[in-house]
Amino acid sequence: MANVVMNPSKKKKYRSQKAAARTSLIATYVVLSILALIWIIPILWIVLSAFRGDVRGTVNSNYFPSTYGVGNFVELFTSHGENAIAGVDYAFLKWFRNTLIISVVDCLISTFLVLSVAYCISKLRFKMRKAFMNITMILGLFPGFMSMIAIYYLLKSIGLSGNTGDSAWLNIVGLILAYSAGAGLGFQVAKGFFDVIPTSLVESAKLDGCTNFKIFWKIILPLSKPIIIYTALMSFTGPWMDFIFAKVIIGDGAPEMWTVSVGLYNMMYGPQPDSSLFTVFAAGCVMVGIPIVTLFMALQRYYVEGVTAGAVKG
Amino acid sequence: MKRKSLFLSSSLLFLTMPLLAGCGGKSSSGGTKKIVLWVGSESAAFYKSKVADYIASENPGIEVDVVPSDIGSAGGVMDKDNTTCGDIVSIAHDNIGKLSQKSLIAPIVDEDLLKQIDEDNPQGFKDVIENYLGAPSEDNQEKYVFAVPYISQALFLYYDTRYVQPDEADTFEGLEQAAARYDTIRSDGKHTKSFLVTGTDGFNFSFQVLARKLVDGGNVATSRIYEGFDKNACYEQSNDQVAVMRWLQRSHNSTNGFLLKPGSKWEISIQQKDALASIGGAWQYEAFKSAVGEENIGCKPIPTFTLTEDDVAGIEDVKYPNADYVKEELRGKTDPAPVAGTTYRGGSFVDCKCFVINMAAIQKFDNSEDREDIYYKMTKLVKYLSTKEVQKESFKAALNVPAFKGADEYIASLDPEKDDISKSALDMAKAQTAMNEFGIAQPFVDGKLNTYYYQSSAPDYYEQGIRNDSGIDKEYYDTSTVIGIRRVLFLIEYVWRNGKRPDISKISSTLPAASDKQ
Amino acid sequence: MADEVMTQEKKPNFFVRFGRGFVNFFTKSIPNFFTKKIPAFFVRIGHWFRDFGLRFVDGSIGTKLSHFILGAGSVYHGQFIKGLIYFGLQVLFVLYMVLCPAITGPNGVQVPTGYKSLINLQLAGQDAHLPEGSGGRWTPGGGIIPADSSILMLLLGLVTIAIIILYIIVWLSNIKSSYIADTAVKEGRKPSSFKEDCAALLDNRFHILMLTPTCLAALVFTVLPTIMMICIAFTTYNATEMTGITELFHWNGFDNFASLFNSKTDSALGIEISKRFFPVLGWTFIWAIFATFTCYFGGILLAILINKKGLWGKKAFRTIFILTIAIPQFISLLVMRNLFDINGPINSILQNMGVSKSINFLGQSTTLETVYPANVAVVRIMVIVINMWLGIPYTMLMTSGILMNIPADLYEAARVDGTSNVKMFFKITLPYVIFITTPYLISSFVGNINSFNTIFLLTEGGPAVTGYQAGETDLLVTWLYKLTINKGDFNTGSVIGIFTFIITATITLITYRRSKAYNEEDTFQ
Repeated sequence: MANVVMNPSKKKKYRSQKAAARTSLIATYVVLSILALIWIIPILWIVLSAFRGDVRGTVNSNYFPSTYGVGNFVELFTSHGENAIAGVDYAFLKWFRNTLIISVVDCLISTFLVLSVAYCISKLRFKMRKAFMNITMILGLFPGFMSMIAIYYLLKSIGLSGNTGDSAWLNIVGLILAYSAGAGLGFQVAKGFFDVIPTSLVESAKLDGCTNFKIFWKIILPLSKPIIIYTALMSFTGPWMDFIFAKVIIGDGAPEMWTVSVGLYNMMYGPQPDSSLFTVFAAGCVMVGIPIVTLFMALQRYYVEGVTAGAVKG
Repeated sequence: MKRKSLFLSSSLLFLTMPLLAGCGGKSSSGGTKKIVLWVGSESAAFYKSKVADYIASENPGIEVDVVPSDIGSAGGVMDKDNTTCGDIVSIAHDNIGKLSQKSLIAPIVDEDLLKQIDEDNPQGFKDVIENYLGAPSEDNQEKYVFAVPYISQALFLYYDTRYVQPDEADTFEGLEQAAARYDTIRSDGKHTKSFLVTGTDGFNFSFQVLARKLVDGGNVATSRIYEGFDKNACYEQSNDQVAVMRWLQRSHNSTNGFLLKPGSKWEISIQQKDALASIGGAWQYEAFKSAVGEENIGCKPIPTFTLTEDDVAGIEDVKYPNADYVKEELRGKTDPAPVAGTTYRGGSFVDCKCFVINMAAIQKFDNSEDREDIYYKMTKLVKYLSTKEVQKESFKAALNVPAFKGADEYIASLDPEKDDISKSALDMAKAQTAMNEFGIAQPFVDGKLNTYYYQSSAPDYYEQGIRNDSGIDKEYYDTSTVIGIRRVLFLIEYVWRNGKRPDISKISSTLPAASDKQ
Repeated sequence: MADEVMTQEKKPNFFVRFGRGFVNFFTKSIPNFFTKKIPAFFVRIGHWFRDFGLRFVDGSIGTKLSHFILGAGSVYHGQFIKGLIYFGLQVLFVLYMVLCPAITGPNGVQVPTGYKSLINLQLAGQDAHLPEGSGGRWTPGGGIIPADSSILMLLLGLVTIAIIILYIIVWLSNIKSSYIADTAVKEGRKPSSFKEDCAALLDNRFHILMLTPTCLAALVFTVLPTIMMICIAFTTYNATEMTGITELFHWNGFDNFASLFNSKTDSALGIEISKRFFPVLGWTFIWAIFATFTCYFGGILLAILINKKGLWGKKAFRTIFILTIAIPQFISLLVMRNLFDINGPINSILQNMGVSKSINFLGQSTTLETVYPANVAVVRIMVIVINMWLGIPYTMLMTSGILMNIPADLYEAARVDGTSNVKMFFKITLPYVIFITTPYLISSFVGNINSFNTIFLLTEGGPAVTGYQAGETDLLVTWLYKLTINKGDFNTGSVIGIFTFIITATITLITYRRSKAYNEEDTFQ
């Protein structure tokens, strides 16, 4: 590597280096701007489509709409009950409420389970520890859908799925159970975090006569704000992102009890698909996107930390 | 280890509680009983008023909740879990076999109602509402009537009277001519198609599968499908069907031919004049009306088409196989090659929609008195709702084409002025009842046959034959050739009989196949 | 860390190591498992039984009695509350097993639990039939005895087995608890009180308190369903068998597995399964490889670009890319699906640029538009490209932090040597990042094999192969979904699920077992 041609003039070299650096910087800007454009185009398109002037429009060949308006949002919030479209109750507000309930409850249960499991596995030593980790790993390798069918029957046999009419809300309880029950098995990232907290901290607390519970509660948790937020964020956003589990457990039967993802999917591709609902669908996407994106942006730091930790720990 | 027990205890509790809770008691009540009635959404208001009339006049000791539902999917809902749907449910008749053989609907044993069914209905409907309770076996040979027909339905042609002359709508060639004429006044450079096929399921495609050859003033079926409700009695590879497929391919590829537009919003194509006509049923009346306006709706029986030299080129005389799935009198006989100039008419399944009594409505009572009480209360209600008079009113109020014998005469006797019914609605009903002559009732009296026909992809294969788009065995099923068409038709026939696709390597190298036993 | 990287460089590359791992897995790990692990396992079982016998012999009357009556030992030692709990559990268990409370299933079928559910595991259910004494004729008063439901029989049988296992654990813990109390008495201590027991749960038995909810939840919602679906792979549970007439299926051994490889087997789906299995498997691998590596390297490159020294507006750029992660995936995928629709904006822009005909990018069902035939290669490339759009920001975010941590002196040294930027990337950056993120790479590969959303929401597996259920872009998982949810061929779906598991498990075992993260998991702290 050393035998590259050296420039005799130091000054000149410095200047050319500077010029090269500038060119490369400009090139970087250009490339990044193009990439940013590519990444922004679909997002912008859905926002523009939501604000299209023609209410209930189909997918349209124009990127920019010819007229603008908020009619699609009005349609989104009113196309239920008396105004149900083709007999399907597109009760967006109710979907939003359902998803919110599911995600809040799931977030609480999941965060608790994940943290408790991660702490035990990371900081306590007991007989079945390694076995627990291995079993968890193996279970994680089965495709989720395989168990989904069985979970559906299981929930159904205890009356928490496949309900219609007045008892359809029980499906939501079933979905919460299904979401949060497996959460404890996803402890790896949090465990990675706890691993980094020095064990000496735990040991010295033990010498002071602290119980394990106290150590967890008084020492570990206060140090774990980032991972608590990360876990909570992940489990909170889960129900907003998941689609297929919700579809199977909640079913297509009771539109009032759909989650936003099931509802929006069914608008376009459900049992009674309606391509003219595209702009309403876009409005729905914007309404769902805003809170989730805001949440993400606000908690970005923690998210990045968690993701990076997850990458290293696998 | 002691403490572990505590938490295991909660676990056991957790697991057992729902199980113990599951064995709750059942409700039982005398006196006034509540009945939930599921009818099609489009006619819920009408039946609500009729039920009110009935309760007011008869004082039958019931309370009825009329729930609008989708008749098309009600059978499926019931099949999944009959405790989740109404006590009396409207279903399409092709669900009867499935539901009765699973014992999910109750037989009709009320003598009065049986008498009314027998007197009012055409034989075709009477055949398909009879079935077994539970899967038929040596011990189970008893047949019952399970359903009460009250609406009939068949495919026919809708067309836009502004652009298609009535006589043009009698033939597919005429439709194509009208479409070509519209092309000349269109400014956007697109082509107008002559007609739409709005679904690729087995029902919508029946217009081709069940096409009839018009000879000597009569009409002859070109295919055999579950004749006599026999799983094996299917024959689809006839020369006539090959020619029909040829014709359909030609129409599909021609500039003003037909357009496949399954799914919702097909009416947009009509509205935008991408097609001037559509093959559909009474349930599409409102959609078609919204696309062209009420005064422009035209309805006719499904048109005729005439083979050209191109359609028959390369089709040769073949022998009917000497197999039990061919009609006895045809076995071993020659199936002559069709000649140009032969005329066919699209066929249709002629269906009825029926009331059935949910077995769960009876089973929810423990004692036989309550069971009998609710059962006879339900049959009386059904009897009232399916009388000719109510069917006639239902036609006027909700455009439900009646199912009773002689409904066509009744419709013919109606007058738009006097009877307060729109002319287009009357035309529609006439077109539909005219199709009775060219159709058969869906012969899926067995749950198995229904699955074989609808869910084992046979309709998909028909479509693939038209498109010459046959997936992974493209070369074998190349429907640009006569033998390729015959192979696809054989494939369809095989699926009808066996519910699954045949192994290519075992299909007879010459078709029509003498045997397909694998 | 720097030293590690440098030593890492001299090691053979990732693929060679993976290959060796693959060979070792079969030549060393598996034989090792049979020659060492299994015998060791049996020795441990032997010891366990010996201890068990000793406890019975050496134990007090209470301990002996507690082998038969739960809680007897505890009561004997004065631990009344605990004894009562144990005894209560035994009563519950016995009641459950003997009374067999029935569950009401679909169509009003009553399925018993308890010992009857174990008998029902033979799956010898009956179709609906008339009650006895009906004289062969249905009457409304007599009603009907609904058909049995095999699926519920299977489910409840497995639930009962789970309950029995839990009971055995309780039973053992009851004996052990009594024995521990024996020992305490022998040593002159007092057996622990209920209060002490509870307190211990917050301290040295803390893990039991913390793990029990997860274990129970996982047992019910993960383990049990998984076992049930594995069982279904050995049954006749498919649409053809259960054609709308019956709710019954039966055990059929390995027939379903055979039908994947042997077109002659008279499988429920005829020859279709065996014809589609290998093409789908092949595409699943192609997809997983491309989806993983395009996103991975794309993300690293993007991270390098964004973290370039002297670049202004880093944060703005990052925010734009993070936006894609923050937007729920089903939304961005459905948006993409519409963007690339036959009638969508992309096609319209292309047409304005002179392309004559819309391109069927996503293999939309040909029934929609006959004039736009889909090209399999185009659709496959499209899903990979769209997946890059989704995945690159994620890797970018993840590797950004890692890039910052690369010791600057490594670059300085290289720069002094006059190494070009490109070379530095390959010699320093990439090895470092790969070293750190190998676990991620593996889990993301496994994740892509099971990547349901991308395929299902973009193409639904299309372009469809008529009648075969698995389209040209269907992965094993999406095919599994179609087979089960859409078609009701649960047994074939389960077989495919098991194969997917075998594939992912093999890959994971080979790589994880060799990885530092696994082997040094304990010492890492």
